[in-house]
Amino acid sequence: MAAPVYTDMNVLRQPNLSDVIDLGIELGFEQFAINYVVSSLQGGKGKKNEKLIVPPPAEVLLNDESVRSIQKRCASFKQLSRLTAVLEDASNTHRLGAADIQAYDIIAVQVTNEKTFQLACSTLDVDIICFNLSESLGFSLKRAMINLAAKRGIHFEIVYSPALQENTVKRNTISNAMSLIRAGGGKNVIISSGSEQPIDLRSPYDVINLARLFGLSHSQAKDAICRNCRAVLKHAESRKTCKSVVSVIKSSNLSVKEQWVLHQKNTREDSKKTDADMDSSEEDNTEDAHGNLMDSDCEAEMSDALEEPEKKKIKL
Amino acid sequence: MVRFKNRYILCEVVFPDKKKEIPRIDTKSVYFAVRDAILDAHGDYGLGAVQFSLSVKYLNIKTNIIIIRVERKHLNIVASSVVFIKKVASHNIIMKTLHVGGSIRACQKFLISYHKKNLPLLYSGCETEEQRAKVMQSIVEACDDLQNLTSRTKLTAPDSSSALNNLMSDD
Repeated sequence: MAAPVYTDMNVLRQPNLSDVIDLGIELGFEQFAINYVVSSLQGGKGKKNEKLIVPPPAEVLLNDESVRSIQKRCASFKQLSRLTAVLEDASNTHRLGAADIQAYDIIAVQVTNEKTFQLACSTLDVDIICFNLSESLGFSLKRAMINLAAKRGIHFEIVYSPALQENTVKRNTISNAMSLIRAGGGKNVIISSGSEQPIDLRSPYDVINLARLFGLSHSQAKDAICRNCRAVLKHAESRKTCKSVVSVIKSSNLSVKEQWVLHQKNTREDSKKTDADMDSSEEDNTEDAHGNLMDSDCEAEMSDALEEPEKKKIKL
Repeated sequence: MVRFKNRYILCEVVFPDKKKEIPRIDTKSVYFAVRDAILDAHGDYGLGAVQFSLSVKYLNIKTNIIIIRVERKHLNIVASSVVFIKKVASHNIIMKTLHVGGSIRACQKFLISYHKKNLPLLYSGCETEEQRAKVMQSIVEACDDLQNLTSRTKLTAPDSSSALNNLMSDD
């Protein structure tokens, strides 16, 4: 087992973001998901000014310069982009499949009533379901629904920063978190800060202590800030692939380790030209099904990149 | 007769506000902050359970290290309340739990290894040799203090020279 990577899955996008992350690193976290919240999903049909505009993830994340300066202090620092959509009703959920939203690393929905809760647990293709824990939920969390979501690999988020606020908010948060943990048996839970101020952050050890107040065991609490977060990332990754088997990336984005794929392809190109044609046509179909955007001139290269691993799998 | 067993919580105080001057906190204000937090989180029962054994054993302003003692049985009450502390004597602080040990000596051992691990980070903030020497000085002083504390409680024979030599040899 690798050493645990403590992850904070919810750092709000805000002006003093770098302060929060600086302190988070000092306290012992290594990965941060920077959260962009969409207050309501509006349809694409409306007038232009009503249309929902989602910034590309690069705008939400820290820029390269600050990342580099942080990595001087903590080499394993990693940032992820996360989008949280607040669901008021069941309409317009198809927007979650749009390319600009799918570009984010992690997609979460915040449910506000029983109907959206059921929808999110049973059908929506998301990674995290979160609640506004600082107010009373207004509906009961059914065990069947939570188990269904857990089966689909969806995790539930508990945000701990309201638990550090004044009394009523604290009480509501603790009560809601406990009912969520009771209903789900302590599985498929992630705990994140969701903090606006640096002072609302706590170190991983303290988060575990806090989670034990909520009713998790020590190991479950530890899982909630490292192992389950990894599971969320894997789940998000699988969304971008075809049946979790085949994925497409631009050949220019290949890491140095994977360059051999291209190299081998070029040397064998002549002998297997017919195969390549077949594969590229197949691949076009999968891309269309997923609605991924791409430049037409890159298509051929991409199919090249894809071809080798695919063949390997067939051989195996 | 069984020994009265304690747990020692080793905490680091983190100041989220970046200010030039060093905030002044003392043992008493930390004690009251912990007390209030327990009263907040666990009520009168919680405070009553730990009040007898709760004490702040050690505080170092230079390295921001605190050791809190509590009866072993009620460790959970204190450990979970420390999370809720946000202020000590009008300073915004975060308590970062580093370690929970059975004796001050165990905490000291952990502290030395922790400081060793963090030394490069502290040094990276220094520009001149003098600053480095200052950092080293304050760490050595802190370890010395703690050593005195251990020997006073007679938990173990004092072994100050070896601990310090260990630290210095890495420099």
